[in-house]
Amino acid sequence: MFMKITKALSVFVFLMICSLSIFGQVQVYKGQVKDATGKSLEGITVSSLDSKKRTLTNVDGQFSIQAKKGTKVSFSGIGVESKTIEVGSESTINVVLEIKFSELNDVVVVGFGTQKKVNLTGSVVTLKNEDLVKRQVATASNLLQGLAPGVTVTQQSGKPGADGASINIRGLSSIYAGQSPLILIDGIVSSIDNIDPNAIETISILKDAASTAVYGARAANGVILVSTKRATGKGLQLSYNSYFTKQSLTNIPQRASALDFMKLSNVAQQNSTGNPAAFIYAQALIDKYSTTAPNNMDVIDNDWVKLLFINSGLMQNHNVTVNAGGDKLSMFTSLTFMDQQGIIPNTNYKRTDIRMNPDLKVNDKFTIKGVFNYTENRTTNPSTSSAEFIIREAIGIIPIGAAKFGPGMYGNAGQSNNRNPLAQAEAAGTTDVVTNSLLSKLGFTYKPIKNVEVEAYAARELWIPNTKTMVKNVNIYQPNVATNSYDYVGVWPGTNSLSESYSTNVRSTYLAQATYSGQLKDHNFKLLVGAQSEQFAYRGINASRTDFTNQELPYLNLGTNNKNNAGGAYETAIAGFYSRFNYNFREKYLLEANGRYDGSSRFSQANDKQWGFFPSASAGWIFSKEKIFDRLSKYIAFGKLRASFGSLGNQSLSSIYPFSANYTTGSNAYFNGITNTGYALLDAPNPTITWEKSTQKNIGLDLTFNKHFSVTADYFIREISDILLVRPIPTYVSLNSPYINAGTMENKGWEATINYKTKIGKLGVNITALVSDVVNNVTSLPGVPYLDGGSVRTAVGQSLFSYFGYKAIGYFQSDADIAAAPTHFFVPKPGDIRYADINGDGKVDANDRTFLGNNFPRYEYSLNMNFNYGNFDLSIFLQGVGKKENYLTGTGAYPFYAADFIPGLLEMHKDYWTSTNPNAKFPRLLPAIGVNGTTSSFWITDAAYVRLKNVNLSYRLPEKWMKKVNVKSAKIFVSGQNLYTFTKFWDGYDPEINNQNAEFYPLMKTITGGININF
Amino acid sequence: MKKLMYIILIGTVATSCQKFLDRQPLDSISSTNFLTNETEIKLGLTGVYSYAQWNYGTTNTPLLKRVESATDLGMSRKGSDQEDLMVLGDNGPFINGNGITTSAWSNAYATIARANSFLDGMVIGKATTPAASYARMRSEALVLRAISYYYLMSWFGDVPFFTKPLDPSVYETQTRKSKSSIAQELYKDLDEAWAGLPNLNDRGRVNKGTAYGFKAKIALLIKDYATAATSAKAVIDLGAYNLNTSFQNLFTLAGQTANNGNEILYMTQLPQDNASPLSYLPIGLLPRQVLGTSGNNFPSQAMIDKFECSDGKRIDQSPLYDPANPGKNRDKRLKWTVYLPYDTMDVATGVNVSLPYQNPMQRIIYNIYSDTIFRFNWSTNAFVKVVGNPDFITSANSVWQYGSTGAVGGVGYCWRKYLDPNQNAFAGKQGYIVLRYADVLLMYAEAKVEANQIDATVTDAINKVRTRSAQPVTTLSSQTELRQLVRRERAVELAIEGHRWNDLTRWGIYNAAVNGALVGVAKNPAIAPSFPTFTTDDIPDYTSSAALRINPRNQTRLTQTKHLLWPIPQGELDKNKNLTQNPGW
Repeated sequence: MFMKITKALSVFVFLMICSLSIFGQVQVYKGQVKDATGKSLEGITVSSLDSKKRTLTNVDGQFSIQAKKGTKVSFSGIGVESKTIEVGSESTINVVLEIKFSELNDVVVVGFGTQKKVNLTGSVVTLKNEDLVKRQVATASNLLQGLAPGVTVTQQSGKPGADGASINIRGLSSIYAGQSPLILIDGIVSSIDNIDPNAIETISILKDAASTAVYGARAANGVILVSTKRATGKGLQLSYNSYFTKQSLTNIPQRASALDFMKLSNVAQQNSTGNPAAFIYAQALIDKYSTTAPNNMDVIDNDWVKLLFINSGLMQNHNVTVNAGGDKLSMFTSLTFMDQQGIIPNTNYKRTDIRMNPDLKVNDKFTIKGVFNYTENRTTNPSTSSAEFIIREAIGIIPIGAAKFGPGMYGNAGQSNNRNPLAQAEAAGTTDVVTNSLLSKLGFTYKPIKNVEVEAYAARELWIPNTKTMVKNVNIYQPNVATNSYDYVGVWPGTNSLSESYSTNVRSTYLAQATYSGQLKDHNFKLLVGAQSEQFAYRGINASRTDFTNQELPYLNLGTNNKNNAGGAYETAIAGFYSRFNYNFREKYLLEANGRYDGSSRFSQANDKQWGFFPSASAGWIFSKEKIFDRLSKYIAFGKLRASFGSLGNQSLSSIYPFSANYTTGSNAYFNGITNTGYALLDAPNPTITWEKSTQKNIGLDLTFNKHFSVTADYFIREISDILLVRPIPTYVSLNSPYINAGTMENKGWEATINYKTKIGKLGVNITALVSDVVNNVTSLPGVPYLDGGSVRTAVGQSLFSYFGYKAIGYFQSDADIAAAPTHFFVPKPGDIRYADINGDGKVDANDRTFLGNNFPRYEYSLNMNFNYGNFDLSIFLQGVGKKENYLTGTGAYPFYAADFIPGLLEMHKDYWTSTNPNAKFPRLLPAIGVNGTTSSFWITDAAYVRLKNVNLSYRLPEKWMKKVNVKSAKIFVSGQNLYTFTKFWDGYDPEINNQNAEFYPLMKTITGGININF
Repeated sequence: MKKLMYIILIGTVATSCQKFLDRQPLDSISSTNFLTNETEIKLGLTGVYSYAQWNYGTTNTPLLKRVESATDLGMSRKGSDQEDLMVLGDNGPFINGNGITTSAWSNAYATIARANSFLDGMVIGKATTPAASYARMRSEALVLRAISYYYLMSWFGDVPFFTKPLDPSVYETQTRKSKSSIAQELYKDLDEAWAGLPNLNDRGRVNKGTAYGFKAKIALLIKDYATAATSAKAVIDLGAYNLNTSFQNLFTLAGQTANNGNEILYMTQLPQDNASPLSYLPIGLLPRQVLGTSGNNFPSQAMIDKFECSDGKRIDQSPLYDPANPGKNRDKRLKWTVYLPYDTMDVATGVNVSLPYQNPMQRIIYNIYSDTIFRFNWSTNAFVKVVGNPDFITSANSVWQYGSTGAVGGVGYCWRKYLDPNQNAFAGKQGYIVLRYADVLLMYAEAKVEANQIDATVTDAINKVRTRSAQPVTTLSSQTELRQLVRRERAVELAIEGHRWNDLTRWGIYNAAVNGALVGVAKNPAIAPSFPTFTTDDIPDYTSSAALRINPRNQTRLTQTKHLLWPIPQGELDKNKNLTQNPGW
C-alpha cells in the first residue's frame, strides 16, 4: 500500500519538476488582445506575415512576437473577426477584436480549473445564470431539467422543501451504490438543493470520463460543478429580485360520490359472494342518500380532496445582492428569503440564505478568496403520517366517513381506528425540521513565477438538523341523529408524544494544487497536479416522551411517560491525488490526460482494498482549422471532433462500514418472565469489496455553421463492472447478504443539441433543441438468475428495475371464454383480467410472467425558445419524454382498495366491466381488487409526455424612466411553470412521478409575477 | 539529498493518509470488539436465545402448534392466513412454498447461524470468563443449535449441516448431510453440554435435562434406541425433575411460573414486563361465539376418541363409554385438553370491563347446535339466552367463509389446553413448552419397547404419567401392546405440544393415520353416533358412523408418501445447485 502511494506521488513530483524547467521566448513586440468588453482573449493566433512566425495569446491575452518594423501582423481566432495591423516603432501593441460567436470563446469551468470551450475534448455542458433564473422554483435541481442533453431530471414531488428532482447523468449506473452525480458547489461536495438559485453564476455538467476523471472515486455518475457569483467590475451595484408565485395542483384523481360508492359497493359484494341479493349498504340508506342533501349528520358525502387541499400554496422569494468591486477587496453579497406554502395544511418550507463571497487581492501574485454561506431551512409537515400518505387517504377514503363538524371537532372518517386525514393534516401535530447550515471556505491563489499558479483551500461545511415531531391528540365526535348533535367519542391517536433529534454533520475538505501552463512555439500545454482530502463526521442524539398533559407545550420536560433517548456517530473519509495534462498544437490538435488515485474509508484497509487508480485520456481535432477547410469556412465557422476514454469509480454505498460485521441490538429473550437484552450478528460482512468501476467511451462532434446554427452531438458507451451487488444468498446462511463486487452492465446512448439564433429586424430569436437517449442493459449477474424487487426485476439482458409480471390480454367475457382459455392460476369469472400464456404450455402460471418495460425515460427532448423584441423577452420551454412506462397500483389504481384504511371509489372506476360494458377500463368490481391486482401489464401505462414546463415574459422598463428614480435598470416578469401537459397517462396522475399508488404530493402548476431592480 | 527529502515527505503523507482513511464503526459493536468478557458473552448468548424462540413465528402463534393441525389430532380452518396452505385436500397437508415450511427452515437456520457466530466469537472472551460460566454458556448455545437441527431433520430429512460461520465463498456449495451422521455430531455437542450445564437453570434457559432430552429425541429419530434409552434414563436418574402434580397447571402462566416438580425442562417464554410480544395462541383456539375471537386450529374426532375411559380401556372396549355423553367417565386429560359441546367456557377477553357479558371474563355454554346460546350476565349473575351464534352449524348467517368452529372450521370441538382463564386471551403471556419431563418418560418407554428390553422401568415410566391423571396403572408386557399404549399415551398427554407429526412419521404410520375423510361430532345431538372401530395401529375408522357426524369444510385428506418430508424451499435450490429436493416435490 505504502509503495503504491509513494509511486503515485513520485510521478506527480517528477512531472512538476520537469514542467518547471520550461521557459518562454525572446520578444520584440508585446501586447494584449481583448474583446470589445475588455475581456482578454486567450488562444488568438498572432502571426507575422513577413517572417511566418506565429504565436498564441496566453490566458491573459498576452503575446510577444518578433517581427520587422513596418511589416504586417495578423490576429485571428475562432469566433472572432480577424485583424491585420502594421507594426511600427511602438513595441507595445494592444488589439481589440470583434466577437462573432461569443460562446466559442467562453471559458468553461472544468474539474479543478477552467478551460476554453473550443479546447474542450470531453463532454461538458455549461449553464449560465441567465438560463437558470427564468424558472421560479424553490429547489435548484429543477432548474437543470431539459437544459442539458443526457441529464435526466425527474421531479417526483411537489411537497414544499422536498420538491427537488432526482438527477441522473447518462442513465442509471449502479444498483446498490449511489446513482446520483457528484455535486460540487465552489469545489465543495454538497446537495444542489442547498443552493439559492440567485447566487449561481454557472453550472457545468461533466458527463464523460475524460472530464470527470479528476474526481475519480466519486465521478462514475458524472459531476455537476456549481460556481457561485463573485464580485466583478468596480464600484457598488445593488439589485433586488422578488417574486410571488401561486401554486396549484397539476392533477389529482376525482372520487366517486357517496351514492355511487354505496351502489357500487353492493355490486362488488354481489360479484364477490355470487349472491345477487348481497349488499353492504341497505337499499333504504341508498334511497335516503338519493333524496336527502348531505347534512353532515345522517347523510355524509365528503370530497376529501376538496376538504384537504385548502392551503394557499403561495410562494414568495426576496433577494438582495450587493456587488462591491474594489482594487484590493471585492465582495459579492446575497441575502435571500423564501417562503413556500404547500397546498395542504401544515406543509411549508422556508429558507433564509446569506452569502458573502470576498476576494482580497493582496498583490499581483497573491489573492485570497472566501465563501461564507449561512442557510436556515425550515420545513413543516404533518407528524402522524407523511403528507403523501394523507393525500392518498384523501383520494381513497370512503365519502360517507365524517370529516369535521366544527372547529376541533373531527369525525371518525368512517374508519374503525378513527384516523381522519383532515385531522391529521390540520390538528394532529407537525414535524418541524430546522436545519442550520454554515459553509466556510477560505483559499488562496499564488502565482510565484510566470506560468505557475498554486491554489489551496480549506472548507468546512456544518449542518445541524433539528427535528421536532409532536403528535397531538384530536377530539373525535360522532353524529347523534336523535339529539341532532355531536357526541364526543374519544381522542385520536390516543397518546400524544414528542420526539426530538439533533445532529451535527461536519464535512471538511482540503485541497492543494499547482498548475503550470507553457508554450513552446506552436505547442501549448498545461499541467495540473493536486491532492485533496475530505472527511465527514456525523453525531446525533434523539429523545422522546409521551403523554403530555398540555399538548400545546411541545417540550420534552413536560412528557410523563416512555422517556427514551439514543445517540450515535459515524465517519467517512476520502483522499485523492490527481493530475491533468493538456496539450494542443496550434489549438488544432488537442490532447488531454487525467489520472486520479483515490482512497476511501468505506473499504477494508486490512485487506488493502481502499485505493483505486482512475485514468482517462481524450483528444480533439478542430478540423475547421485545416487548410483544406478554408473553402468551406463560409459555411462552417467551427468544427471539432472529440473522443474520450476513461475509467471511474463508485463507492457511495449506504453502508458506512461494509467490511465489518456489526452486532445488532434488540435481539432480546425472556427468561424468568422478564426481558433480557441480547445482541446478535445479523449481517454478513465482506472485507474484500472494493470500488465499483465504470469505463466510459465518448465520441462527439461540435459544429458551428456560419450564420445561425450550431450542433453538438455525442455518442457514448458506459460499461459498469464489479458492480457492488447485494446478491441473494441461501436462506440457511441466515445473515443479511453482504456486498460483493460482481456483475456488469452497460449504458449506451446519444445526445444532440441544436441551436438556432437569428435576428429578424428587431426580433431576436434563439432556439435550442435537445434530444437524447440512453438504454441500460444488464450484461451479467453472476450467481443469481435475477434480483427481485416486488413488481420490478433486474435480470441479464434487461434494463435495471424492469417491470415483471403477467401480460394482460383483455377480459374474460363469458364462461365460454374461460372454458376455452388456458387454465389460469386462479379461478376466473367473466370480467376478470385474462393473461397471456407466454410459454404456450396450456396454463397460465408464474412461468408466464415476462418483462413489461421500465420507468426510466427514453427519448428525452426539450425545446427552449427565446425571443426578444425591444424591451420584451419571451421564453417558452417545452420538455418531454418519448417513451416511458409507469406502473399504477393500490389506492391509485384499484377500485375499493387500500391496504391500510377503509377505501372508497374513484370516479374513473365507474367504467367497470359488465357484460354490457365489455371494453371497460376496469375489470369487474370486487370488494378488494383480489386477483386482478396481480402485477401485470394491465396496470402499466404509457407515460410519455410533453409538458409546457415554463413560459416567461419579461419587460425591461425604459431607461429614461429609470434614470428619474436613480435606478440603473428594472425588469418585471410573469412566468408559469408546468402549465400544460400532453400525455396519454391516466387522468389525475402525473406521468413524471413514478410508480403511483396515489401516495404522492402532486407537482405544482405555478404562476409567478416578479421584479428585478438594479441600482 | 533532494531525493531523500522527497522520500521523507512522501512517506509522511502516505502514513498520515492511511490513518486518515482508517475508520471503524463508532456507535456499534462489531465482530472484532465484542464477546470479550463474561458480560458481553451473556449478551451474545441472549441474542442466540432470541432466535431460538423461533417456534413463536411471525404471527405470535407457536409453529409447533400449527404443525399439529396437519396430523390426525387436529385441523386448520380455511382462512386467509398462511395456515390455509395447510388445508387438507388434494394438495396434501403442505405445498411447496408453504409459509410454515419456509419459516421453519429459515428460523431454524437463523438460530444455527447465531449459535455458530456466538460459539466462534466467544473464544475472544475465554481468558477473562470464569471457566464454569464459559462452559455453561457454550453448552447452552450447543443445545439450542442441536434443537434446531433436530427439527430440521424431523421435517426435511437430510439437511445442510455446518457448525462454523460460513465464508461467503462457500455459501452456495453446501450439500445435504445424512441424518445419521448429523446425529453423531450432535451427540458429541450434547455430551459436552450435559457436562457443562446445571440441573436447573433460569426458567426459559436450557439445562442438563434439555440436553439429554433432545439427545433422546435425535436418537429416536434415527432409531438409535440404545442411545435414546440411556439419554432419557440419565435425565430420569438425575432426580432433578418430576411431574407436576397438576396436569392443567402446565399450561397456565401461574402454573408455569411455579413449575411444580420442575416438569417443564425448556419452554419459550413471553415477557411479563413488557406489553409485547404476546401470544395469539389462546385466541386461535377459541370458537367464534366467544366475542371477538377467531379460532383457527381445532381438535379432530380421532383426538377425542384417543382418550381412554376412566377404567383405562379404549372407548370401544370400555363399558363406561356413553356415546350420548362422550365426556362422561373419561381420562381426566380429555377435559383439560378439549371442549365438547355444552361445556362451560370461562375466557378472559380483556381488561376493559364491558358489561353485561364481559367482566372482563366471558362465560358461555359452548354450543354449535342452536342459534341461541347461554351467556353469563355479570350484572345479574345469571346465564341468559342470547340469540346469534356464529358457530351454529346450520345457520343461514354462518360466517363460514371466514371459518368457524361449528360446521366447517372444525368438527364441533375446541382445544382447551393452553387456555388460561386468568390471562387475557388476546394478549396471552403463557409460554409454550418445548420439552417436559412426561415426554422424557414416554421417550424412555418407547426406546426400551422398540428395543424390546421391557422391564419394570418401562411400565414405571408409563404409569407415572398415567397415574398423575388418575388413569389405572398398566400391567401390559407384550411389545405390541405396550407400543400401542405408549403411542396413545403420547397422543393424549402431549396433544398440540408439537410432537405428533414427528411421532407419526417416526412410527411410519403418518399416511395411515391422516389419510381419509374427516368427521366430527354428531350432526344431531339426539342421535348419538356409535364409536369407531380401531385398526391394529390404534387408528380409528369412522365408516359406520360417518353419516351421522358433521364434516369439516375440507372433508378429505389425501396424503402421499412425499408428505413424510417437507419440501426444501425452492429458493434454496435455485441459489444452491448442489442441493436436492425431497422425493415427490
